Amino acid sequence: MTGRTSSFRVNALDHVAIRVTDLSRAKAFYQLVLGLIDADSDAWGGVPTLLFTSEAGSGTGVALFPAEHEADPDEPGRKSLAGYDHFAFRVDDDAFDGAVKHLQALGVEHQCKDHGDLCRSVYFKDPDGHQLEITAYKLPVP
Amino acid sequence: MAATRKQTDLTILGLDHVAIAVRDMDRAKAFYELVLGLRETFPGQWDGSPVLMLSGEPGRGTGVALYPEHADEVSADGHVAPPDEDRHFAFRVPIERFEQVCAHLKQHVLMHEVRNHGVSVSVYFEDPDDNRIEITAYRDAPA
Repeated sequence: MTGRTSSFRVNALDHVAIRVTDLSRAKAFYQLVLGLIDADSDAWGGVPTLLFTSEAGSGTGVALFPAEHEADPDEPGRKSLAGYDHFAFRVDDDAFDGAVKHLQALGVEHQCKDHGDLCRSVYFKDPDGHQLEITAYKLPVP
Repeated sequence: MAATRKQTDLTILGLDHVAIAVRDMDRAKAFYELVLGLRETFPGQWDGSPVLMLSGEPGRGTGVALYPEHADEVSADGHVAPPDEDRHFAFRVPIERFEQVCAHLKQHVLMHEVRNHGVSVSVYFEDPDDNRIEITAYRDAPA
């Protein structure tokens, strides 16, 4: 990492991805206790189940993955245990390419993944090995 | 489940921070500043632990709370397991709603602990998988 680049800035946290042992139980908890709402989970077949403060693209919240979810070759290191998986920051869609170039310029190892009509993401790790994501929604944000 | 949300009516504004453990505080601060553009917020508060790095002003921005990692928490492969007492993620509510949120939580969760952080006040509890959750409210958040 060389030089100071102050031009790039994420908007906000988008979601915290956690692994849960009982998806229905966890979903009920985050809806009832925190008042989060289901945000387009159907688009993912329910995995993950996104529970946000408002619509995807503007709200923030949790992404629930079943703890027994099989390892994804595109997302190595996922463990079949309850607990943290990764956390994600959000940028505007037109800032996404700049975010990827920013990571490239800094020499941060990363991997891009297109999530279809909903969003696209770039995954990388911090110096302590925490899995990070920067995501940009393609949906029009209200 | 719009009905459930209406019934709950917590006015949760969004995520506030994710608390993670780091081995080298200066290195982690530099990473989150340079790579994600986060800025240290309330420097010197809480005796430097955690170091709060946010994307905007407190009460608006969101980001990470960096905790010095406990040496015995590193596994053989070098993976950092955040100390149990520090690891959590936090949602934000308006300060004027904080008491109502606490009253709501008392009806649903067992663990219920309120802590005064000076610039903010927080309540802590756990989800069914023992993930630690914080709800925080800033005292002087921008309107």
